[in-house]
Amino acid sequence: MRCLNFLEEPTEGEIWISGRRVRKGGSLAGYQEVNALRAKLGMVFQHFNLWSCKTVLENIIEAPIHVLGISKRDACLRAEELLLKVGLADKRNDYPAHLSGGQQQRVAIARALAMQPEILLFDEPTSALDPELVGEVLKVIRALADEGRTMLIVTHELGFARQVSNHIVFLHQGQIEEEGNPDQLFTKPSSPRFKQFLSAQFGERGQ
Amino acid sequence: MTELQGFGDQIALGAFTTLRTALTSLALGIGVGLCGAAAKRSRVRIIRWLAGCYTTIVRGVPELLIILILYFGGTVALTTVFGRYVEVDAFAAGVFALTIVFGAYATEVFRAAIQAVPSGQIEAAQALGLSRFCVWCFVILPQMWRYALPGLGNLWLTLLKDTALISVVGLEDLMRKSSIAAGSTHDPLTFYSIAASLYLLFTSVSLVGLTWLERRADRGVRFAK
Amino acid sequence: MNLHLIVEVLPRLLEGMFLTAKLTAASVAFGLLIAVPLALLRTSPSSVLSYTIFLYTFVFRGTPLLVQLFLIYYGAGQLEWIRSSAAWSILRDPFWCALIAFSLNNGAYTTEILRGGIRAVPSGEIEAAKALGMSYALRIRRIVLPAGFRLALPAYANEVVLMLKASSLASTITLMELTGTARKIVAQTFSPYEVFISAALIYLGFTFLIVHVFGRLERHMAKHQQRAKLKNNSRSHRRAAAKISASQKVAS
Repeated sequence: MRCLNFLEEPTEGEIWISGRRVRKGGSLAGYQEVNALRAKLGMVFQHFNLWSCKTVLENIIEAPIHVLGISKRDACLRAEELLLKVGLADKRNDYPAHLSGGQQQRVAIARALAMQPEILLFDEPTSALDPELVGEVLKVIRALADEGRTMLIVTHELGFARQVSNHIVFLHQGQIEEEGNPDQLFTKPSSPRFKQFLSAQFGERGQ
Repeated sequence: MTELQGFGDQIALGAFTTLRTALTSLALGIGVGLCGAAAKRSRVRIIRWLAGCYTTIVRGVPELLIILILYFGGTVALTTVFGRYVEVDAFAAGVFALTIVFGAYATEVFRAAIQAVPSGQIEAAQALGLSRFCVWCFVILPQMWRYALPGLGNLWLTLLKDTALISVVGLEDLMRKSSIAAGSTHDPLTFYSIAASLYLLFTSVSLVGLTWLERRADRGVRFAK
Repeated sequence: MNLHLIVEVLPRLLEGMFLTAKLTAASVAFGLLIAVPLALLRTSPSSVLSYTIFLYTFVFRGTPLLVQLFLIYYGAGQLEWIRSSAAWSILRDPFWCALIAFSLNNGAYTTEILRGGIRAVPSGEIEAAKALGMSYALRIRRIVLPAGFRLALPAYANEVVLMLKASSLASTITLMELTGTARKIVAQTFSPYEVFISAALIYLGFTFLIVHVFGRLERHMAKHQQRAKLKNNSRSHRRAAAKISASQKVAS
């Protein structure tokens, strides 16, 4: 996930996004290309990574203004819309530290959306949250899925993955163990490890 | 430039005076700092207030001015007492001034270090029926050193450099000897560079020593973290 | 105590205070100008650059300011190429010598303080900026420096007070700032208590002013932390800030 937008340099392999192969960074051209690429890939982190010295609104309008060059007024209007969408319109002038984890993650989603990305990347968006806060974040992600956005999600929430996704890849120790469409995958798993994982997850829930 | 034009011995003597001044002030200043920290934790309000005034005032006034006050003020006081002109010894005035300054900063370092000692330890000692004095000697002080060491190290480096200020009232330290040599040879660049190198040597050696001391003080705790 | 004398010398002391204020403010400003780029280079991945700058801060923090001042004031005139250059008109003036020495000294301390602040900026916040496509320069300007400054502020406030106090050394190279004026008056009247204590009180007032201004600034900037209770995010932040202010209490 972190290799996709070059937060980490891939050691080997190729990256194709929207039918275009992404060149490796290094040269100045590569560096600018990486920045342009990152602007098109919205990223939501496990630990939210909001800028703690900026308000919610400032967090959202920062990149659109300085990277995309949008006027402050337009950026604010757009940010207000997004905050409404994630259900945090009344928090616009609060600082991240005043928000709960779930609220922070929803702001982080709004921040990523403000760049009008082609693809949204979610890096374990709910694993740092208390269980009772997971729901509100998943609801927002589900709403985005219903809009038909392209999203790539890394998650341990199997039930959620099954409902939202149209393609699932099960990774174990860096290897693809199982891949396919969710219904087929969950009803007739072929890899023993995935079976084990499924029973562990749903077995727990049964108790 | 043989033998630094005859000033080599003088400079060495000055360096020795610098170290002697700094070490004397360090020893006395630690004592003042401990008393100050104890005063700041005192149950008597007026004592806490006095300790607060002491640290606030001393930390807000230039060290040079404190040295001047003690030197010239001391001279006036002694002259009045003895009825004739008596000049205060520069070493005594300087050490006194640096002790006061060091003590004020050390008070804050010790206070913070004492707060870092887990309060459960102090309560446990009190529960065992130890007197306040015993708690201080056997529980707080031995543990506090580890927390105080980094702060004290910084203060020591400052103190070492502040000794140069006493040369202004005539203490024959490294700085003053260099000034004299610079004046009589018309070669300030060389002599002040030598002084700077020697001070740098002192601070470097201190830094190495402090790192070693800190590592030693952290024995047994480092892994427990 | 001779109150009459205090009233009499007060105008002269206040005149000296004006020069003290000017020296301090200018040194702090130039020191900051030196420190910002150096702190950024000091935290850069290039070890050669970082080491070179460490050498500068080490030398200026490891020697007494008085020696630095004398080296510039007395030593520079010894070099023929300086005497014959245009810089001599500046280096001949004790005010400029003091300003140069103070700025370099203050710059060295501030560099290390800022470096501490920059290093304490949570890496996640920088990563978020990267992921949003912000360039290096933009990240530094909009995210790293503001957050680093805020974290370094308590230690920096300390440093400004130390600069105020250090400015008293200018009196040793004939500048008539507050301490210099006080010394001159004492030499004329020989009443050290009245004059020096008045000067000390003026310094104390100045210190309070600086502490007050920075305190307000800190409170203003820390708005986002005040009401936070449970959030680990802010707690780790505050811990980082406390760590810097503790580790950077190095006096000049």
